[in-house]
Parts: sequence; C-alpha cells; structure tokens
Amino acid sequence: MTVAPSLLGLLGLVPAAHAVDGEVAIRIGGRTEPEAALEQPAEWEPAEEFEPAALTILSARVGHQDGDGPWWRVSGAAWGVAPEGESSLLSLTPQAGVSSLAGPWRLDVAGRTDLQAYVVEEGDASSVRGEVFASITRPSDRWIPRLSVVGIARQYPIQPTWSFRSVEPAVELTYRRDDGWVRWTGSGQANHHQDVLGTQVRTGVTMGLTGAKAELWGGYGLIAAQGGGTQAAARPPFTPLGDYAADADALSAGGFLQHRVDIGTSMFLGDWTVRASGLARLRQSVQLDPATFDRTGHGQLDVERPFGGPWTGVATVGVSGARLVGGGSYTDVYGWLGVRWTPRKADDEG
Amino acid sequence: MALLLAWMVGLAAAQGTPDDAVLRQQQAVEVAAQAVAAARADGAKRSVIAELMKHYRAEATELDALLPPLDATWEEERRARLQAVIALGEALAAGKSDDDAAEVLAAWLGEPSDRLTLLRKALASTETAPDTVRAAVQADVAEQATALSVWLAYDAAEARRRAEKAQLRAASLRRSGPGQGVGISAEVEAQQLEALALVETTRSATLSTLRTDVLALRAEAAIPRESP
Repeated sequence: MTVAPSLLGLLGLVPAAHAVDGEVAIRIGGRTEPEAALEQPAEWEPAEEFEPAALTILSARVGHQDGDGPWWRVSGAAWGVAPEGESSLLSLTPQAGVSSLAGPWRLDVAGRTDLQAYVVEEGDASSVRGEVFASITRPSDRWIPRLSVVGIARQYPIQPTWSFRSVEPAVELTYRRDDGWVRWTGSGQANHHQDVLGTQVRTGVTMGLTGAKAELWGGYGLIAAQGGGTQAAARPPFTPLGDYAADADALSAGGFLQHRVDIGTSMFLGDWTVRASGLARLRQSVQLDPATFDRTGHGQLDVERPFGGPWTGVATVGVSGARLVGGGSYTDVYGWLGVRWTPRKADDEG
Repeated sequence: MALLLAWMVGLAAAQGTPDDAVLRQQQAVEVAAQAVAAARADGAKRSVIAELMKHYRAEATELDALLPPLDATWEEERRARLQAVIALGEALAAGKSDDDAAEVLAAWLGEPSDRLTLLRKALASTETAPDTVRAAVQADVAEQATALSVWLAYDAAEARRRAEKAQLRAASLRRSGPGQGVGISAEVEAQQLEALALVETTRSATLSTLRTDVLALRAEAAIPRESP
C-alpha cells in the first residue's frame, strides 16, 4: 500500500507538464484460483481444489512522452486478496526508453524493472525482473526491417533456484498497408537456469487487419528448444501480475517443441473501448516430467467507458489455465469492476 | 507571390466568374460531406450516418446536374479540379482515402497556409478594382477557398484516422492479463504508436483551425461590396 501514495505524490507534482500524464484506478473483483499461480507445478494435484478469493486492486501510473524523444513510465499496484491472503501483492514497474535517428535508421533502447513482493506469508514468488531491449529499424511506408536484442533476468531472492536469465537476438520484417500488416520474426534464444544452458530457435508470423474503429490481429509462433534443466518445471509459470508471456517460454526445460497461437481485437465503439485477446500454447516435451506443462490458455476481455471529466469505468473478465503432463491443472477465472481517474482528461476538457 | 497574385487576378478576369449556382452547390456538398465525417469521427450510429450520407448523395447529385458542358481548355482544367473536389468530398463522407484527388488539389493549391495568404491578398487587392474584376476575383477566391476547405477537411479526417489506428494498435499491444503480459519491445512499439497518434492528432487540429480561417475568408468573399 506504500506504492500508490508515492505515485500519487509524483502525479501531483507534475500535472501541468504537457507531455506528462497519469492515472489512478481502483478495482474490485474476484478470482477462482489465485493460489494456483503461486504454487510450484510439482505440488499441483490432479483434483486439487483452490480457494476462490475476493480482491481489491489499487493501481497508479505516471509517464512522460513527447513525440519521438525519451519516454518513461512508472506503474505500481497493490493487490489485496481475501480470505486467503497469500497472493496479495505489491508491485512497482519503472520503465524508460530513448530513440534516435541515424540517416534512414531508427535506434531504440529501452529498459524495465519489475519489483514484485508477496507480502503475506508466501514470499517464494517475490522477484525482481529486469528487461533490456535495443533495436535498429529502417522505417518506411511499406517494408520495415528490424534487428533487435532483448535480455531478461529474473531473480527470486527467497527461491534462488527459480532465477533465470535469457537473451534473444531477433530479425523481423514487417509489411504494412493502410488496412493491415504482416510481420515475420525469426530469433535465437539462449537461457541460463541453475547453471544449465538451454537454447531455442523461434519463428513466427503475426498479422492484423485495421479499420477505422477496429483492429483484428492474430499470430502463430513456433519454438524448438534444446538443452536446459528439467528443474525448470519447479517454477510457477504465471503469477498474478508477473504476467509476462515471455517468462513461461524462457526455459528450454530439457527440450520441447511448442506451438503458440495469439488472437485479439481492439475496438472503439462510440464511447466504449473494447479489447479482447487470447493466447494458447501446446507443448511437446522431450522429457516427460509430470510437472511440465503441456498446454496453457489465456483469454481476457477489457471494456472501458468514460463517465465524464477525469472518470472512466473499467471492467475485466478473463480466464487463465494450464495443464501438466502428469494431469495436474488449474483454471483461474477472474473478473473485476473499477473506476479510473485520469487528471489530464479533466485538463483537456477544461 | 506578387506575380502569382497578378496572374490570379488577371486569370480570374479573363476566365469569367465561376457559376454562382455551382459554387453554392459545391459548398452545400462540402457541408454535407463534413457532417458525415464528423458523425463518423464521433462514432455515431449506422442509421444516423446512413441518413447523413443520403443527404450528402442528394447534394452531390444536384451538383453533378449543375455542371455546364465544356467548351474551352481552361474549363477542362477547372472541371478536373472540381471533379477532384467532388471526389475528395466523397472520400471524406465515406471515410475513405483518395490520394489521386488529393494530389490534384495539392498541385493546384500548393501549401494550404500560403494559398490562404494569397487568397487574402487577392481579396484585399480588389478594394479599388472595377466591379467586374472585383466580382471575378471574389468568385475565384470563393471557388479556391471551397476547394481548400474540402482538402483541409479531408486531410484533417485522414490525420485523425491515422491517429485512431495508431491508438488501436497501441491498445492491442498493451495486453496485461495473467500469463499474457507483453515484453519491453511491445512497450517500445506502443510508445512509438502513441507518439505518432499525438503528432497526427495535433496535425488534425491544426488543419481544422486553418480550415476555419478558410471558411471565414470564403464568407468574406461572398459578401457583395458597395460600389465606390
């Protein structure tokens, strides 16, 4: 709860600066199986019943952006969960980036740190996650090539055996038109976990159709992983806010072939903004450790509507689940309603 | 600039005045097209947009019927420009792009703010001119201001549409669900798209302001002057 007031203070200091904006939001809702995302997969029982929980989320964000110049954004959230409070969480995520032009090329460098603390009882899943990214792009109206590299390091202070690092250089080619785009990506990835090195080869295609008020997109990705330690399965694949898709795919876990499908849409329907997305993974592991997941699925629908002035109503429903090779599984259904306060909107309308 | 102004005044006098009825109808078509574009931008219901589109089509059909037959080369050029204005109005109303028509008007009118300055000077230069020259210049200014206004409305709508598309993409990139959160590369792309949206939104507002000035000038050109 200490995070949000400090962000509020920061927000109060800078409301007049043109390119600085921010928001504060509170949401109330529930999850059916929040604990599943904290337990080691090896502990999942095929018929385990997780306790549903009510939750309150207080979140805040402040950021700065001014055209193509440097940008930064700091977001924080406090998740209070009851009656079982193990998955109550504080998070703070500062991130920043800068870009520059060199002839026809655009250079981008960005970084992000994610601090997550489970402050009630279970601290195992508390972590510090860092991510750095650099890319060189040749922008154009149609064909856009890009070379990039991203590095991820996640440290679990209480469970250091869960910590890992990965680096992924990638090449990407996008073809863009007014009404849509197609992007091919190819990359190599190396990951390090418990002194064991794993590697991956990745490729994927994403595409989107963009209209005046709606966008529909989807993609397919393939990962061929080699090496790495099978202990990877000891780490919880997902945490409530440690929600990075990249982390579930990071470790080679003894080798696997994984198919991944993404689909989503965003729509501006009058005053309503609607976003929906889904993600599914199907993994064929070389070593059939019973605690290795063989499929996961996620879906979320977000709806927003301004109430007038700085106030916006927000609602979310979603489902997130995983199934292990050994039969253990969970399906976490969640939803929350809330209100968001955005001071810049009040200024703009004034 | 002075040479262009003299040429414009001379040409207006030599070519004769644009047909008043055509000009008035052209403006009516523009107003109808702009109404449809505004309704689209506001996310109005399909039935409302359909009703406004029906009105626009009626006005456009009436304008088509008013166009006189061609009997001179300069009239062909003027007709081509008028057709471009009509095509841009159609694109504006339908919420579509028409790069070819926009290019015709760009080649004719040049930089919009420079053209607006030129039209202001042309109008001011007729203070002491003979009635026939003044009337010809006023009509020519009104004709060009109408074309400029349609072009600016179209360009502003295009900029707004590009901004909304960038915002849509940025919204898609910022997935936050458990197990779905995106990496820093997606955040960088979202930031770039939001920067683009900011630029396009500002551009759209600037073009709309310029169009307001153009409409004021057109109204001024339509006011009959007292004879000295």
